[in-house]
Order: sequence, then structure tokens, then C-alpha cells
Amino acid sequence: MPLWRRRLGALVRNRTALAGAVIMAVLLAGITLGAELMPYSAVDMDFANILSPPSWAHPLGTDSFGRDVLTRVLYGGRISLLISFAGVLIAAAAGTLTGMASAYHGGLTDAALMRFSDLLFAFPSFVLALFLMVVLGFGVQNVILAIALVYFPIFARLARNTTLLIKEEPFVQAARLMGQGTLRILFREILPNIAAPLVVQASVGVAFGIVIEAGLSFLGLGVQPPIPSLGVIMADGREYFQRGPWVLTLTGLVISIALLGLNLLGDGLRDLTDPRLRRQAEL
Amino acid sequence: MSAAILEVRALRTRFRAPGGTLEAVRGVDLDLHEGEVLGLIGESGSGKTVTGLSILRLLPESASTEATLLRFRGRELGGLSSEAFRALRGSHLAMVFQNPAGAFNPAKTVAWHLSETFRRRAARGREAGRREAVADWRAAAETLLREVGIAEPARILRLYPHQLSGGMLQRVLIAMVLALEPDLIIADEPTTNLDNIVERQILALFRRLQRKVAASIVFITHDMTVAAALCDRVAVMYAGEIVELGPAAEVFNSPKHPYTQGLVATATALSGGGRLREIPGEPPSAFERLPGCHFAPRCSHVRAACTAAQPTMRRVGAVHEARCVLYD
Amino acid sequence: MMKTGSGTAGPPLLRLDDLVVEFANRHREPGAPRRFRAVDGVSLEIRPGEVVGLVGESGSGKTTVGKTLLRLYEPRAGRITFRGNDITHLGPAALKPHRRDLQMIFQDPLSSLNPRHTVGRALAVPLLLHRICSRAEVSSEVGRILASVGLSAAMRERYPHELSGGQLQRVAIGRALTLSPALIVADEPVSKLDVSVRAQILNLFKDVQAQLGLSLLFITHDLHVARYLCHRIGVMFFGKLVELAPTEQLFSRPRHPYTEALLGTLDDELRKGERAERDFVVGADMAGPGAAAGCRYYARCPIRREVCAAAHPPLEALEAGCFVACYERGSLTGRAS
Repeated sequence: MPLWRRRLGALVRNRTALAGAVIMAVLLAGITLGAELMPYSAVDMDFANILSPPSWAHPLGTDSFGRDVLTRVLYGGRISLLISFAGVLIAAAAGTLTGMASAYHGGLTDAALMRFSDLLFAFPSFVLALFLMVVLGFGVQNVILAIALVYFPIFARLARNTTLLIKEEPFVQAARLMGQGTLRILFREILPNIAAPLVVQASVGVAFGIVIEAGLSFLGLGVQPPIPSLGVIMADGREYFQRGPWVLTLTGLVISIALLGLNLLGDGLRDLTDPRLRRQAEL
Repeated sequence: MSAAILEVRALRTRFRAPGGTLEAVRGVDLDLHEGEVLGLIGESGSGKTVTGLSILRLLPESASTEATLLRFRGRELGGLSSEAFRALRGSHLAMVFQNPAGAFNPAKTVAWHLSETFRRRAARGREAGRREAVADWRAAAETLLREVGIAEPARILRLYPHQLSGGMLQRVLIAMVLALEPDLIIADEPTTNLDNIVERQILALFRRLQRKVAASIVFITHDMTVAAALCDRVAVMYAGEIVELGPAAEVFNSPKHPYTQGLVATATALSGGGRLREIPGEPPSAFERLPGCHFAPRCSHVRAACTAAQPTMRRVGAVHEARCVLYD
Repeated sequence: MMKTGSGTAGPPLLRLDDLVVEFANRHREPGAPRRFRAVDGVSLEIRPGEVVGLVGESGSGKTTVGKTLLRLYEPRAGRITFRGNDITHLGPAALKPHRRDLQMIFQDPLSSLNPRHTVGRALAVPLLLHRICSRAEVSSEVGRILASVGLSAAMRERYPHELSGGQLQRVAIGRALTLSPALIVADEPVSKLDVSVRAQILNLFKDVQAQLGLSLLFITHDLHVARYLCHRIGVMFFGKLVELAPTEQLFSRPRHPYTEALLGTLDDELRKGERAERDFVVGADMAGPGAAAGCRYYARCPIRREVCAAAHPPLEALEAGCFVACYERGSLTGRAS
């Protein structure tokens, strides 16, 4: 049975991962297709329908400009997810490369890179993100950059530690004996074998990236209106909370569900890739 | 023949695995007599380790064991609750593992481990109504370490497990097992990871153990020569069942089952000249279950009857049996 | 500096002179030195087409010798000469042309293959890396190699975790052979294999070596396995080479007491109650750094004398290509002491 089919089978059997995958699938369907299918606009204002509570016509109600909240959440979700994903992707790429190189060469390079990484890691993630927004200025691109910088050390360290474990394995030594160059060894031999924990970390990272973006935008320091990221929607909802509590709370609920889904998926993936669990079969 | 301290009939153990159900042990019958060393010989996939673990209920959740009979000193083990069994296991039944390091707490010294053992023994003694003063347990510990051949017990007591070599750890583990004074010891490949010279020393230790403490031992190994030298009787396992059973010297000198013959030939051939005799093919994985004899694909004496049905044990000597149609 | 044998065929393929390899001493007891010498002045020659065995227990340094001569570890001192070239300190680029000639078979076949690569890919990589054949020819070449080690061509699609130990080791041997090396270092290649499979792999080594005329450094802890394949055998103890002799001589007339101990059979040990008792009380599998001054084997040696505590005896030549490092057994049986 080809490797990918076995893996898929294992994924389906693991309840946690399956639940997470299902939630994420539903959400993804929502923000891609759903958003397009909604009859309302995310930005056009409709002053006749200001702050109407949830109903059949507007499942999540309308906001202070009369805009359908569900539509805005779907579009906003798309944006938040893209921002978080982009940030984590940059962090993963840069962090993994740094970590691998650091581990493989060891010595002073390793020490220097890890100290730099530790420096970033020392700050609580949200505080660091805040600080970066103040320094860099607001806007989508800088939010992505902030998320990338916040997650860089985690990937760097993870990649470094797993590489340290793998690089002494006989098959890596065999590759050296073949005469394979360092780059080839890092990418062909080591990277595929450290990918699993990195993917798990990425899924968890995207989850919290959404929280960071939402938080920053909520405070007005991240994505700026009229771009409807989830944080922006919540900022709006907070302003008019007394007259229309559903905006803030329901948007927050959507974020929670997304978080749940991503975390479950991450946990499930972690269980699947845990080598210790595999060893049970080897009696 | 002395009384049987352990009786096992029709032991079967299955594992639930992603690929299906794995039958690791397929109907094992054995008796262990008082004061005897019984060797359980087999390669990977033979089910020898799982047999030992099944008897001591040390298997993971995914496993299920059943047996028509599983008696220790006449007492049926199958019906015992987990608690009752655990009490029995801590005091009368012991196991020595292949990788000694796994049995130790890496954050505690050897001294701590031994004191824990003594404490447990005292607790067991109290339950049985005996009062045991373990006042000077340190002296007792040092004596015990000397028993197992450690030259500087005081120094070793202060060390942590990771500071000791495999051979030393195995000796300490045996000391701990000795301290419990169990009736039955199952030793699972205790010398496999050790060098030859250290291995021989540990085996000599087992011999001494057996004489001194009158323990009955099930000695699991893949090494035919080790079994021949140490054990009174041996059971050769292949693909989850016993294929030959008899006195060690007899099985080694005149093996009857073709698999045993192959093992003995490999073990002895290295000393002679000429080409090594091979057993072609590989031991079957636990997933493959054939309708007939499991050794048939590799056997040079195979015939039609072999693949038709599962062969049963045939008598080939006074107390010697082999599972092969050759001996009808 | 030891010359290790009266000439058979021409100059040696590989030569080690006073090789020293040190490692940081982890998990050390308080008071023990920071670095320890895994290999402490080993000299050895391997001639073309010769199989040399290196026997010893774990900690003897035998594996380290093998890995160091392949430059997987860096020596602290000494010289490695391959085909007349000093390769001791060559950088990766300068070393690359020699890589084809020096290969290794590892003890654990499963971890010697990348778990994410198929068997076919594992064999193709060296072929393409060293341009042994064109891309178009790779497939058939891989098939040929698989056949030469007794595996079917269908194996190429499988992943390492789907193969048994014996099959994996065959793949590893096939991979080593893709480059047509002059010397293969085999590090305990059968210790992790099932007993019934060992004979197959040993026979494979024997056949391959005979057919291709390659040299082999065969590292093992089992003297009897070494006997089956090796022309000459070196015995190592705690970083030192204590005896080196042609195989039959080693077995018929062992010189060093450690060699004798290794040759002792299990039966002897168990029957000779007193001897077992004595060996057994020493617990000297931890003859540690404290013994550094005198002969390494001092703590366990049944024939030790005063002179042995002073300094480790040098390896010296006796007759017919036999060498031993022992004051008692060597020709330097000190009359003075």
C-alpha cells in the first residue's frame, strides 16, 4: 500500500485529527465558496438594517453599517487566515533553514543563531507583535511580518533540535560517505525526516496567528478598515456592544471554532507522527 | 520430575493493529517445574517475548490473551483481578528485561532503587504477617551487590543508572530481583545486548542464582548455544508456537525439527570449515498466517502433508517432542 | 610504527599509523578525565583483496577505527594512508574522489537507509551522484544490483520499514557496491540479524568479496564469525590493538590472554565453577580510566606481573606475521623482572 494512502487511513482513524480536519474543511468551504455565494456585500452599507439581531435573513445579524455580519465574517476569515498563513509560512521557511544550518554546522554559528532566536523568543508573542507594529507601522503586510518574526524562533529551534537528532543517524553518515554535499544532505536526507513536527507546529501556529492578527486589528494596530479582517469586525462590534452584542460575541465564537479546529488537527497530527506510538506494533 | 510450578495450556495472544489482527502466540503449552531452567528459543516474530509478557500480564492495551489453563502453584491466574495479580507479580513472579536501563528511574541512584526493593519486600512481609527489620539495609544492599559480582558495591550505590555500563546495570537488576526472592523469574534475553565475556559472566550468575535461591526460570533467548549451556529443558518457538520441546542436551545434540536443525547447524558451523549452511528465506511476520506448517516455505524436507494442515506435536524421545509430520 | 606482515601482494591498500581518536567523556563520574581515548595508537595495514577482522567488545574502539579511517570521525593524531595518499586531513572536496573507493555497511540496517526513500531511490542516488550510468540506464542498473545481492527487482518500490533485517542488509550491501569500492568497512553487519538469516548474509559477503576481489575491514565482537571470513584478525581491547595474526594462527595458538578469554566457550565457563567465580567477582567491565598507566588488560589478566602495571606493552612482531602486546607472551619476556 503506498505510503500516502496508509497515512490517510491513519488520519481517518484518529478521531482528534478527523474532528479537526472536518471543522477546518467546513470553515474553509465557508470562506471560499460560502463567501462567494452570499447574496450580501461585505462592504456596502444598508442604513435601513442597522444592528438588526440574528434572524433567518441575517444569521449573525447586521453591524452598525447595516452590513451582514456573516458575509463579513466569511470574507474576514479569509483575510485573517491568509495573513496568518503567510506569516507562519515565512517563519517556517526562514526558521527551518536557519535551524538546520545551525545544527549541521554547530559551533559558533549555532550558538549565535540560537541566541538571536532566544532573544526574540524571550518576549511574550503578543507584546512582541505589538511592539513590531508600533515600530513598523500598521497594515496587512506588517502584520504578516510581525507574525513571521514571532514564530521564527519556534521553528528555528524545532528544526535545530530535530536536525541534531537526525544528523548522527547512520543513513546520514552513509550519505556523507557517498560524497553528497552539505546542501544535498540537508534537503534530501534531513528535511523530509524532520518535516512532521514542523507541520504540526505550523498548524498550531496558524491558529494563534489568527488570534494575534485579530488582537492587533481589534486594537486598531493591524489591519485597517474597510478591509474586513476578523479583528476589525470585532473592533466595530465592541464599539456598539450595548446595542448589538451579537457582532462581537459571534465573531469571537467563529474565531474560537477555527482555533479549536486547528488545534485538534495539530494534536491529531502530532499523535500520528509520534514514533513512540509506532513502536507498539513491534513486539 | 518435580512438581510443576507453572502450567500453561493453549495460550493465545492477539494484537489489534492497523493492518488487521496479529496473532503473536498461537496455542502454546508448557510446564515449568520447580527449580528448573526452561529455555524459550526463537528469533524475532517467534512469539517468545510475547509469551513471557502474556504470562505476566505486561502487554499493552491493544493485546488480548486467552488460555485454557494458566496456573501458578496450582492457583488459576486467569481469574485473578488486576490488583490481586499485581500483588502476586511484585512478590512471587519477576521479570528481567532485555534492556536493563528501562527498569531504572534515571533520576535516582542505585541505592534508591535497592532501598525501594527492600521496602517493597518488607511491605509484602508485613502483609503476610512477618515482621522484617530492614534497619541496616545499606549493608544488605552491599552484600547483595557482591553476590552478583560487583567488586565495589559502596561506589556503585552512589551512581546513577546512566553512569553504569550495560553489564553492570544487568547485575544490579538481578540483585533487585534476588532481593524480592521470587519463585518464578522470566528472563527476556537478558544478555543479548551485552558483550560475549560479560554475557558469560551474567549467565554464570544465573546458574548460581538458580542453585542458591532455588528459583524456577524461564529463559528467553535467540541464542542456541546459550540455551544449551544454561537450560535444563528447551522449547524452540517458530511463528507463534512451540515446534520442539525436550531436554537441552538432547535437543542440541540431536535436533528433530528441521528449523531446530538449521539453528544448531548455524551455531556450530562457524567453528568448522567449509561453507555455512543457510536456512533460505526469512522468519514469517506475525501478520502472515498459513494454513499448514509455518516453516514449510523454508524447509528442505517439505512434502504435501505439510501445507495441508497444521502439524501437531509428535513424540520423538522419552520426554522429547517435535511438531513435524516427519515423525509420524 | 608497526609493519603488519611479511609481503604478500604488493603495497598495502590502506595503512593506519598510530591512530589516536579522542572523545569528550560524557556521563563521567566525578574525578574522571574530560576526554577519553577511544583509539589509542593503533597501526594496521590492509592489502588489496584481503579481509581483515577487528574483534573486541563494545568500548574497545573497533567501530571507531572503522569510522575514523573513513573520515567520519577526525583523528587526534596518527596517519591514514590510502593508495599511497595521505588522507588524514583532507577537506571534503579533496576527499570526494576517494569516496567511491571507501564504503561502509552499518550495524543496524534499518537506520542506515533513509526511511523516506524507496529502495530504488537509495540505490539510484550514488549511481547518479558519481555519474556511473546515465539517467536512462539507472532503472536497469538498480535491477542488476538488486539481483546481485539476491533480491527481486520488485524491491525497488518498497520502503525500508517494509523490509526484514536480512533484506535491508542486502540493500545496504548493494548500495555500497554501486560505487565499486576498493575497501568496505563492515561494522558488525550481522549482529542485529536473526540467527537463521546470519548465514545468508555472511555467505553473501564471502561471495561478493571473492568475486570482486575487494578488501574488507570486518568489525565484530564474535571471533567465530570473524574466522569464517577473515584472512587476518586483530583483537582490540580498550583502544589498543593487543594481538594481530593470520586467522588460523590466532585460533590454534592465541598469544594474548584476552584473546584466550574471547575464545573460551560458554560451556567451559559454566563448568569451570571456580574460574567463573573469579572472573565474575572482578566486575571489571568497568576497568575505567584509572587503569590508564599500565597494561589496559591488567585488571582482568590472569598472568599479570609487576612490570605490567608500569606501562602498556608495545605491539611487537613474533613469527610469521603474528603480533602481540604482552610482556609475558611477547618475545620481550623480561628476564630482568
